[in-house]
Amino acid sequence: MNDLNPPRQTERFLILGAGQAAAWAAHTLRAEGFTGSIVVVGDEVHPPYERPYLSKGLLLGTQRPEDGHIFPATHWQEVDVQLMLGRRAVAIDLDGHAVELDDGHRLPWDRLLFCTGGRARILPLGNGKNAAVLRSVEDALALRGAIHAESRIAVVGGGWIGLEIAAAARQLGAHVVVVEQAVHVCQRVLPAQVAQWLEQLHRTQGVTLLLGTGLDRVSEAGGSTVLHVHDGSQVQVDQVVCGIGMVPNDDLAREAGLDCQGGIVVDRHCKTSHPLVFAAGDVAVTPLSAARGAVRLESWQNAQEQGAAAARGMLGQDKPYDPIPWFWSDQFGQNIQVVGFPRDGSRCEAPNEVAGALVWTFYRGDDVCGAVGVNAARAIRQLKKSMQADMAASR
Amino acid sequence: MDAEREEWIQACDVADLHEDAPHLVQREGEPICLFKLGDGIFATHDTCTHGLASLADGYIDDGAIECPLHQGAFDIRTGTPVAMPCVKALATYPVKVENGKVFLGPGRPPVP
Repeated sequence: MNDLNPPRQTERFLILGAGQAAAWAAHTLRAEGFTGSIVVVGDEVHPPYERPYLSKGLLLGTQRPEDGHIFPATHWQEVDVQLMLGRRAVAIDLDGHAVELDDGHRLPWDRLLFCTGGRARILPLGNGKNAAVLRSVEDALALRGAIHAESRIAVVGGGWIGLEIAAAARQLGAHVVVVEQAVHVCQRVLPAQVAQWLEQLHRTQGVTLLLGTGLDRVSEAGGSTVLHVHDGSQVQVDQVVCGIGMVPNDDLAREAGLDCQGGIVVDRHCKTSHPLVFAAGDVAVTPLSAARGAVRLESWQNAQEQGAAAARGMLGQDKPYDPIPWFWSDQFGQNIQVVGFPRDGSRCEAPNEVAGALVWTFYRGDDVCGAVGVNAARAIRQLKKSMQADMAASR
Repeated sequence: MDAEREEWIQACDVADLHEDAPHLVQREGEPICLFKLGDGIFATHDTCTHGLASLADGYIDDGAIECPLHQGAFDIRTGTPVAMPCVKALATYPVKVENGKVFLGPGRPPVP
C-alpha cells in the first residue's frame, strides 16, 4: 500500500540529479497528469543523458555527445519541466521543506526526489594524480583523446566498465592490459564458466588480462607510468584508467538524517524514511524479491524504470516496483545480456549454441534464478518474462 | 497500369512469416519488418527510433514488437510507442496478400 495522498495540483516537486532516473521521473510525472511545478537540479551541464554509450560509442567515436540525450532539447520546455543545470544542492532542510544550492539559492519543495546517482571510485597514482575514470561525457571525451593506435593503456578493474573500456581501446588499436584482483572478471555478477568465456574473448582479441593480482605501487619513468604488480613484474603504460566501482551520492541525504545504508534506503514505492522524500536509480537501496533482500541496482534498466516508479510513488499511486534485474554489455561486437542473479544458481544448464548465440541458464532448486546470453536477446527476454511470471505466482 | 498500383512490391511469401519472430525484408535499401499476428499481416520500419537497433531481432509480445537492445516497444499495427524508452513512433506500411504472396504498399521512410 502507498499511504501517501495524491498531491494538490499546485504542489512543487523538486528532483535532485539530472540523469536518466531524473529524466524518466519528470517525464512520467507529466505523463501521469501532474500539473504542479517540476524543477530538476543537476551538476552536469548536459540535459539528461543515458550513460551506456560513454564506454561504447562515445569512446569509439561512433556517437556524438548529443546522441545520448534522452529527450530532444525542446522536450523539457514543452512539458514544462525546469532544468537547473550546472548547479548542485549543498544542504537539505527536511523540516523546512527546502534545498540549498551551491549558488546560495534556496529552493522550496512539497515532495523531493533524490536521483543523485554516484561518482566513480578514485584510484590515486601518487604525486596527487589519480587514474582516469569514466562516469560522464567529459570523462569519455578526455579518455578518447588519450587513446591512440599503439598507445599503451592500463585498465585497473576487470568489471563491466573496465572490460568495455579495454575492448574499445583495443578496437582503436591500443595495447591494453587489464589488472583485476579477483580470479575472474566480473566476479560480482558472472559465474566462473561465463567469466572464462569472456576472458577468452578478450585474450583472443589481444587484451592482456592479469587476474588474481593487484598493484603494489605506481611510479613515473620518462613520461610513462609504471605499474608494479604484486608478482614483481612491471608494466609501462601511457594512460591508467580505473573501473573499480561507484560510490553512491547519498551524502546530503545522510546529513539530513534519512536512512542510508550504502545508498538511500527506499520501499517499493521509492519512498525514503521521510514520507515526502523519495529516491531512485543508482543511489537507491531497493527491496527486491529476486534478490531476496535490499540491493542497489546500477543499471540502465533500473535508472529508467525506478525513475518512472518514483514518479508514481510521489503521486500516491499504488504500483510497487519489483523488477527482475537485467542489463547488457557490448564488447568486441558481442552483445552480452544478464538477467536475474546468475551467481545465486547452484546448477547450470550447459550452454546451447545456435548460430553464434549462447545462453547459460542458472537454477536455484528448480527455479531459474538468472541467465547470461551472448547475442541472444530474444532468448534472454523470454527467460526474463518467465521469471517475472514465476515471481508473481509465488507472491 | 496506374501509378499507385506500381508502388506495391512483392515482399515475401505468406509461408515465410511466423508469429514468434519478425521477417526482415529490404525495399530499395530500406529495412522493413513483416509481422504475422492473429488478425493479419503488418509491416513496420526495422530500425528502433530510440537506440537504432534492428527490431528484426526483437521479441513479439501481445501485438507489440520489443527492441532487443533496450526492451522499449511499439504497437505493431500502428507503430505507436508503448514502452519506455521509445517516445517516437515507428513508420508503418500497408500490406496486402494475393495468392500466398505478401505485397508492401507505398509508405514513407521514417524522419531521421
